[in-house]
Amino acid sequence: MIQANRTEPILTARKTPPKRYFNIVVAGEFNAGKSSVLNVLLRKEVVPVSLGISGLPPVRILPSATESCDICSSEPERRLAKSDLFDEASDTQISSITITTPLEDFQDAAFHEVSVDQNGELSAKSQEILAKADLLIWCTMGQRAWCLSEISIVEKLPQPLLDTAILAVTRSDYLRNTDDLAKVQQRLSRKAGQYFNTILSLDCSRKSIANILDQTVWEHSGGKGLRDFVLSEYRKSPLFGKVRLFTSNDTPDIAAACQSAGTLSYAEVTAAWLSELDTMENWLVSRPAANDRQFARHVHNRLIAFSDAMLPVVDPDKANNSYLSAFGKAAHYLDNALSEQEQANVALVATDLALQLLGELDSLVGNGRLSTT
Amino acid sequence: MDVIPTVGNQSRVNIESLKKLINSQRQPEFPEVDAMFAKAVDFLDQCHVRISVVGQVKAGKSTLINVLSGTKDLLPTEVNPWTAVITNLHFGHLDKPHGGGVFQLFSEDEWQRMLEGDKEARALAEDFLPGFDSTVLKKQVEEMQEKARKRLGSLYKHLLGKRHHFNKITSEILERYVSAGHQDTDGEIDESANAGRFSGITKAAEVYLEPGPFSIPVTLSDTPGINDPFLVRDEITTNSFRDTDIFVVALSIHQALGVADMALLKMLSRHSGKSTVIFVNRIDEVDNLAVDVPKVLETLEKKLKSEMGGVNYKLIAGSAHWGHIAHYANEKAIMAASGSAEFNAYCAKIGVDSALAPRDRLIAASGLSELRHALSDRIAEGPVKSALAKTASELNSAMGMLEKLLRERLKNEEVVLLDVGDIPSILESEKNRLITHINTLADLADELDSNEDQTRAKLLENGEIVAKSITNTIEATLSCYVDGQSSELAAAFSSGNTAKKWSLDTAALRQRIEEQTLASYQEGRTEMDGLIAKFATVTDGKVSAVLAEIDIENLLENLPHETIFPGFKPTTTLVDIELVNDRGWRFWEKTKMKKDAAIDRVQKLIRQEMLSGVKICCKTASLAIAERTGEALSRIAKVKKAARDLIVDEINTLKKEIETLVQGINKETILQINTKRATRAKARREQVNRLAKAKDELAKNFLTKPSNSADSRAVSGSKARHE
Repeated sequence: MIQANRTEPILTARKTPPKRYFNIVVAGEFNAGKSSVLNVLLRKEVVPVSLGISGLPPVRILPSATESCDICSSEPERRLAKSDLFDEASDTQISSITITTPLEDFQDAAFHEVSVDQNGELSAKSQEILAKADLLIWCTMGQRAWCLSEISIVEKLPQPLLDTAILAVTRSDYLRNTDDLAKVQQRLSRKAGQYFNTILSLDCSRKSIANILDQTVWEHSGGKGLRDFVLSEYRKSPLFGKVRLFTSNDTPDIAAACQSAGTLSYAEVTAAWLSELDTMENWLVSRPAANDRQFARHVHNRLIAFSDAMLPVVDPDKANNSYLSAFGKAAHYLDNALSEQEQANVALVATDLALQLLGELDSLVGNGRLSTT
Repeated sequence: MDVIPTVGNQSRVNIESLKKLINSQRQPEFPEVDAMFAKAVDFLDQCHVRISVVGQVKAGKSTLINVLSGTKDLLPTEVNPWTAVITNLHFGHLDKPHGGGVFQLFSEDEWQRMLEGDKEARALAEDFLPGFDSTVLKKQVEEMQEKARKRLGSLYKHLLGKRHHFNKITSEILERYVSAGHQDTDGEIDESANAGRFSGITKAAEVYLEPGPFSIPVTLSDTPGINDPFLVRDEITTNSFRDTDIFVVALSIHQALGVADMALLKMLSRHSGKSTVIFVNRIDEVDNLAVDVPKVLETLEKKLKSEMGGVNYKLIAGSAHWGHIAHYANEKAIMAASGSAEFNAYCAKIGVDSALAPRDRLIAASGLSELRHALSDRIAEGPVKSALAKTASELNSAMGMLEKLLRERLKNEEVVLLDVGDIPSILESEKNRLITHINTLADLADELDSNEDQTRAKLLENGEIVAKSITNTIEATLSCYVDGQSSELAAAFSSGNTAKKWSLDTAALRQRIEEQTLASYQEGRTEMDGLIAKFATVTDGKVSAVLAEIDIENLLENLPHETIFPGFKPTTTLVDIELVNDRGWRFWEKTKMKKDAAIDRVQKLIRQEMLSGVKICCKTASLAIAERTGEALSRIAKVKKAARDLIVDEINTLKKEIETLVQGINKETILQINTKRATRAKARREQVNRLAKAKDELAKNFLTKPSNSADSRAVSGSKARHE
């Protein structure tokens, strides 16, 4: 479909791995409290908590200025509202769920909720997500935390991911006293300590989530502790900060980049950029409804063309990382989204990105850092 | 506390009515047939049902059993997986002791075999349970054995293959043998700890109890949870499936029918002819009861239907926790549990009468009554029904044999013999009759001898068990006390204890040990009295059926040591333990003891202080039981002698009769004999008629009719699955 227009996959053309989201995966067996963990972590009811519903595809939460929830079903092919999710889940083949919401501290992070399926296995899609994960939060229910069936999944995960992974012990509120909690924690550090360096207990009761904005409740629930931990891991990551498009401190040394690349002249590069800018601006000015698939496709194609055009100027080894980051991020956004056939979502993301990119370039031009002469 | 509702009433009624039928036809005159009847009665008396409560770790199996069977807190429960050994609770088995229990420890051979495991069960577990890996299991078994070796030190060799008897089982004792035990972070079990001390080497735990709420003998097994990373427990449980009639699968509502639950159901469905009840536990922990519980049940039903299509499961939602509160807790706790709006909404949803008292509403919502009904139905339909059918068909052939014998005798008596020429035949027939009778009596005498021998052996064994049991019980209680003191001391150290000595008041310990010794003695004494009474009744029953009654009243009166006064006197009840290091050259530098050293000292001192008390206590009890056993032996010997004397007298009388017959006979005697024969013939005819009626009744009520498809739904379901 969309990819048919492309002659060469952008990711393979690149010499270094693409820069991308910091992927935080919240995984566990069904009803282990994954949605609740996300909710206490993000301090809002982002994902509705469901009891007894299994077989949902992974849920993805992306940072955005606007709230949206996009559920696609492949059979029958249609889009569902958030409220439909739990009524029709068992009858409808839901193919994807993407939620966008403002995530203040996590501007470049994506959260994924991944469930072990009915056969005690991870679906191909879940495995794909886990393969790209930067941080894993494994959820296990306090009462019988850490079972054989969980071990059989976790022990197959790559060691680098487990190095930073967190074992979130949910529903600590079910344990009737602190003595019990201590005993469970002791057992877990003994039995699960070989897999997890960090074990946190969380009170994810409905009551806690309802009052999660109350600082005391949040701290008491363990949500704050979890967020602090996740945030510190996120900030340690090489992805953090560098995926931002041209930050104010960046002074891209385009001339140096061009010389080292030696393929295009500086003038050629800037000319190409400016022409692209014009085209894009025209596209974006005539921008129709944000979720129009047709529009998304156009933006996508333009961005790929833009990115491809810029590629030869940038030597991945020597050029300023910021260039690569910008293109890499754009391409990854689109590549990823489209390969999962989520055109509607691409419209939002790609539009945001395009606007951001244009803004950055504009301001560079305005600051005199980018000159056309 | 409230009376726990009964299970299995209908089964009891059915069994009793067949027993009544058999007893109405007992014929001590024909030992072969009577033995068959006796066997049938025994078989019915021993007809029991084996119910296994299985499920994932922390599904609440032990709590469920504690509520279902009225044992309150007998089975130890904990927040971490706790049950490590299958614990069989035997309720009201006539062929087993009526109280106490036995723990069988692994022998060297069995332990070796455990490494290899049951191939079939292991293959099944590997097929179904994700993560079950025989190589890992093997490694864990080795580690477990190594740990036990280390923990038990020199005791280890001595313990293997032993049986530990207790006349009274308490929670403390069970904890010692069947609980996993607390482990510190290194996975080392505290050496002197009570909990889990022997669980690593305990192969089986048998606990004998009064019938309690069960109307027929039931063995209720608590099993270690499956899906435990410690595969040894998974294996223990999966190995036990074949010895069970009815499975109760306990699930936690939070993660019901997950992959491990489905694996368990699939493994169970391989065992045909067994029924399964699913109890979805822990609903008390659901936030929005009225909405979520029905919703989950619906999802579960759908899932069972789609994945386990053929099997017809009974699915019950409930909360053992509520049941425990309703049956054992105080009014305040009951009100707290049944007071919430969510609870009321749930009761309304499932149709519990709001006019009921809070306790009754709690019971209704707990799902336990429903579970009891489901079990009663399955007991009546499954094992009891097949036991009745089996007995009935054996009985039918026994009755056929009896009829043949009776008719034969009748024919002998009915032949009219009056001719002079018939006199030799009359003599011959009369002589034969008497000889048969003598032989029967001689056999009876032998039987009485062997019965006495058996009872003697049992009485002596019981005496030994009582003595051992008391030693074991005291040791368990003492260990528990030492545990408590050690952890108190550890806590005191952690909170910055600065005292230089540790004082303990052992008065409570002393009282507890005395109570337990007394209880243990009394259980053993009751067991002994039961053995004596049974011997007397059996002897009397056999003799009085053919001869006369024997005086067995007052047999149990004035036996020595009806009770004992265990004098557990430690050297002192108040013990002060100095927590100061011995005066060495570094004395001034560091006077206070380290935590571990202090705990060690406290443990050693407690044991030392108690040693003399323990010895005296054990001695008092074992002397008492020995004396009582001695007296009992002489009394049963007397009873048997009385019975034997009666028999010998009768045999002599019969022999004389034969002599008279041989010596000579006149017409009068012949007439007399003939009148007697006529009377006996009449009696025989009546016997034959009664037997015919009984046979009809048997055929009508108990013999299996052509198959009825509704007989055993669950059973046929699992068979269908099996294909």
